[in-house]
Amino acid sequence: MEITLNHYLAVSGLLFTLGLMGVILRRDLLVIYMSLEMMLNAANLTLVAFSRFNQHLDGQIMVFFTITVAAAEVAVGLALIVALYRVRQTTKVGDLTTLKF
Amino acid sequence: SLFAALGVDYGLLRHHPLPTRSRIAASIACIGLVVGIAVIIGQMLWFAPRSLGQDQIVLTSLTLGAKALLFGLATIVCILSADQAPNTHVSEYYALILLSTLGAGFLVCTENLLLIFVALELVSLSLYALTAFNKSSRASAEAGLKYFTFGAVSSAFLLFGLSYFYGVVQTLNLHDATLAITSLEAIPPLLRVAILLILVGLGFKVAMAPFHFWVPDVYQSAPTPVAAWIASGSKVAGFFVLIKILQPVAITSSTKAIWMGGVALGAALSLLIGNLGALRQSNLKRLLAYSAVGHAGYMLIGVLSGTVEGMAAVLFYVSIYALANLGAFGVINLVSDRNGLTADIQDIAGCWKRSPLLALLTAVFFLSLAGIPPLAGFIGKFYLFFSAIEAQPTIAKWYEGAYWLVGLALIMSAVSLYYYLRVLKVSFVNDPVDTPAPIRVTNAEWICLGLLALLVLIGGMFPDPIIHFIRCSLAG
Amino acid sequence: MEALFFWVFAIGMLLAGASVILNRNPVASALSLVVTMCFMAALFALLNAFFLAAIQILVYAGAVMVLFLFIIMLLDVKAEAKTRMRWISLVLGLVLAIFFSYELSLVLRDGVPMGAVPLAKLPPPPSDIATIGRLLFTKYLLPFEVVGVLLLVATIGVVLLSKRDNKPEAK
Repeated sequence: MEITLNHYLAVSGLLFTLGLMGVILRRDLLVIYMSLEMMLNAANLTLVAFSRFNQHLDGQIMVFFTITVAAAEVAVGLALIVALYRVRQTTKVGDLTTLKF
Repeated sequence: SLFAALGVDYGLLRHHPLPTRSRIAASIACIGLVVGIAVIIGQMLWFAPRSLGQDQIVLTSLTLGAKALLFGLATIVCILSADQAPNTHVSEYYALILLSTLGAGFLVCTENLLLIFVALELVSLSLYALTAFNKSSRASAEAGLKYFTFGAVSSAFLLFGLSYFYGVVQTLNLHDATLAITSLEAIPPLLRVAILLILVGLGFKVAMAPFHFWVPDVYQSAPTPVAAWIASGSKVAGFFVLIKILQPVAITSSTKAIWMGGVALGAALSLLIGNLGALRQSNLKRLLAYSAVGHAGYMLIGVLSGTVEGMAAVLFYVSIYALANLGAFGVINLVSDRNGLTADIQDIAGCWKRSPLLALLTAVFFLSLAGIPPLAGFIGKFYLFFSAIEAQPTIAKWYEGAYWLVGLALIMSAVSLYYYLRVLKVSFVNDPVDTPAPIRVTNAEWICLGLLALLVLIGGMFPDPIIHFIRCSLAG
Repeated sequence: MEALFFWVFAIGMLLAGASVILNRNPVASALSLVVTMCFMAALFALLNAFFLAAIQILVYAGAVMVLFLFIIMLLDVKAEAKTRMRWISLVLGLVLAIFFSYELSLVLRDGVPMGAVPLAKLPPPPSDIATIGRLLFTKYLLPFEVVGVLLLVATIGVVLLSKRDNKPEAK
């Protein structure tokens, strides 16, 4: 049967939920950042799907910018992890509890 | 004007001996920013409001005013951080502050969803780097990481919400979006999900309750001027964007129903968590962090009204709050950071005896935050509550209008009075700790703290010109 | 025929996505993220965004994932021990997932103003490189500049955070 916009929305919605689950459930910072990337990718997919069905290119241009922004974000995030790793030899979320409530 | 500030930025990246470096770098940054403000004032006076760059930047008097405010805040932050540079990378410190001002400047005066997202990322990225600035201390690296993780997740939510919003509205420009939404007959559920997601994304930026976990840690461990800049600059920009995005949806009552519930819940939660959390804080910066969450609650009540009146009240309140908060952080910077203490409440003990003028200034800032009549905080709160109630005066059920929220806010501001006065009591009544380090204050800091106090006083005495300016430009 | 491609790519992407989360070893989850991105690029191609598909592979799968692998190697992150699943976060995650999928089902059941129009009938927008390039440098010149500044901030941040201080660090 024909593929409609709803299919694409369903797929990207599921991917976004997967990413969200990953961010919440996993303990390792690196895996959290990976599932974060997945959430950004899901947003990209909806943008391209909408730009395809709305017949103009704004969506695709936005995806260009989101890719660059995501790349910059990952760079800063990983630099932060390295900085933290040099101070504390762990990337597990559980151990970062010096800042108590 | 933005590129002038940026030009200065490159000038900074020369390397000088550390102590003088910081002062030179700060002065260059301030010159750039002051030039920026001058150019903005010029733009406001001579150019008619128009949009350039294919309707991405809209230079109305409101946006220019906001940009001038942001530049002013950034200048004061630069002055505050002038003579105690965290570590050797001095020029990067000022470069990042200038770049985040640039981002906030773009954020405030744009109408294009794409530019909003990119500018917001620009501001947050520079703030992440600034929070984790002094690498040696374990807390700041951890706070930077926590801030980054929360920020990145919330910008993913924001992007997902924007993509749905783009789907419904089929245009990236907010102005055309308003036309598209009014022309829609039924409200597609997609719009409801879009607005919900955008609220989640922006809720983080303005420290709304369910997303406030990063606030205390970042405010405590980030270098104080950076915490001041986060508390004032990025909150002003955050509320501007929140209002700008909610405008297309705030016209017809059916669309308003979408985000009313979420904002009301956020406001109530922020009020409760913010004020109750601050009660038992012994660290000054954490206390200010929780008060920031509480103030986000007050402002969200204004946003809830959805009318132009309410929006003007929120903008007025956020600018007054930014001034008072910056002053409060400035004082903490002088009292504790300068002598290497950790901003505990005892640091400010006996401030009256050590330097009376500073104690007076602290009183002005904290009382304005609490909302005591002569100062601007009171006017801001009154105007907020007035517009929130006026938006829906007659109510059928108790939870209809904003009555229950305003009631909650009044109780909470009474609670907030308690912990603000606790700080003032410590600073006035207690005698100083056994070996009080002398409070060194450079004359530049006297000027800017005095200026802030003056602005807060003027805002309190005769607020009408400011409110009139905001209301007419918002409506215009 | 074309529907078959869609189902293959979509299911593949979701499986790879799930394996990113469920994998114990971070290197394995990084590689499965690369697979997700390749399937995503294939979906972009299905949506006539060919240039974008190429960019997605080059930039995302190529650069970002290599960065991840590099960091994993640098910090020699060990595979996670079989830890007891923390119940609170598990419950929270499930609640959030259910709420989220309910919202999405709500959206998809009522559909989008023009959601039901099958793909084939719609004329594809002109999405070759020339139009994208022209659009990028005329209508969206300003965001292009701002993204340049954003990358500048990212580089400053990275250099700042990872450069080892010259003075011996106070351990």
